Amino acid sequence: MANYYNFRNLNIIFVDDNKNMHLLMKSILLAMNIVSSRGCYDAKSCFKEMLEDPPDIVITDLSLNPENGLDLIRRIRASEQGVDRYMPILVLSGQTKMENVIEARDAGATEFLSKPVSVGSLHDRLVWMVENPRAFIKASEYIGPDRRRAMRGYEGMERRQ
Amino acid sequence: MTKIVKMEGYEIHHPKTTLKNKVGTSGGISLKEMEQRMAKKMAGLTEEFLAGIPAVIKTIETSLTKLEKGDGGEPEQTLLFRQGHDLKGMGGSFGYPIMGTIGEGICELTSRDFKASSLSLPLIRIHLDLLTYVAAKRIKDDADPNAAPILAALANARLK
Repeated sequence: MANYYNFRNLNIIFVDDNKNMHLLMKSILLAMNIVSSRGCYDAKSCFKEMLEDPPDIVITDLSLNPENGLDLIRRIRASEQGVDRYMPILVLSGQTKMENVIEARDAGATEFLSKPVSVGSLHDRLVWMVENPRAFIKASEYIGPDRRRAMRGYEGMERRQ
Repeated sequence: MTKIVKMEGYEIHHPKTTLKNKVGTSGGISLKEMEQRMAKKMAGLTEEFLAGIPAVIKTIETSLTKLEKGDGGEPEQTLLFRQGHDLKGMGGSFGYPIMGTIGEGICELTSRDFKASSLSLPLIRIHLDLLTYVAAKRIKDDADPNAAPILAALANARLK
């Protein structure tokens, strides 16, 4: 009998300011057997949820209202209000220009997945994140996943100076 | 406990807890089964998405009309960009990639690279008209026989 990844124990928070994306993400996560997921519409409610019940992964859009998704990532990496700064953060965004990806990486995102999203694309990216945990770098100007190993899809894009 | 290795000018942290602690390789379901589960829900979700499109069209129409009359500014530009951004992200996710392409076009035309006073409003108007048509006819992608003129119009409605 084949062995498949069992995501059931994962606890996920996804942040997107669009109602339809919430419906879609909830359904995708349920299809993947991920029953512990919460949707937030902004960074403020995301922080509230993280403090009440720390998730295993945060999935966030970059274009949030009123706060930018990059700011949310930086606040998590700064361990604001005591949240786990090592938390894996998957950016799920329609802003897919190279500059957007680099900005997300430099803010401390763990991986980047471009919209449109599907069960297949999210599954593949989660499997990648499970199998390829990244060490964290703490320097004066940066804290986040080691950028020497680029995010999936952008391998070899840039190396840390 | 996180293992910390001190280097010259920076530290390397190895968090003890990783996703592997939470994700096993037994008792799960195949990707095929996940996709089958999702397919069952997709029709209902797509209807919800399509039901929201008239409101998107109305928002774009209101902001665009203001700009056309000279009453609008940066807030309307931002609103148009956000609507385009949402369409770009959701169109493909809900099986309507052509709406995603229209959204992408709106994003390009309303990005912060341009001042509100120098937006190409006629091109944005073309995108709005195409969105209205695509939504009414439920044109999903380039496989639809009605898609060819839409895609041609979109290609012509880009900034040179």
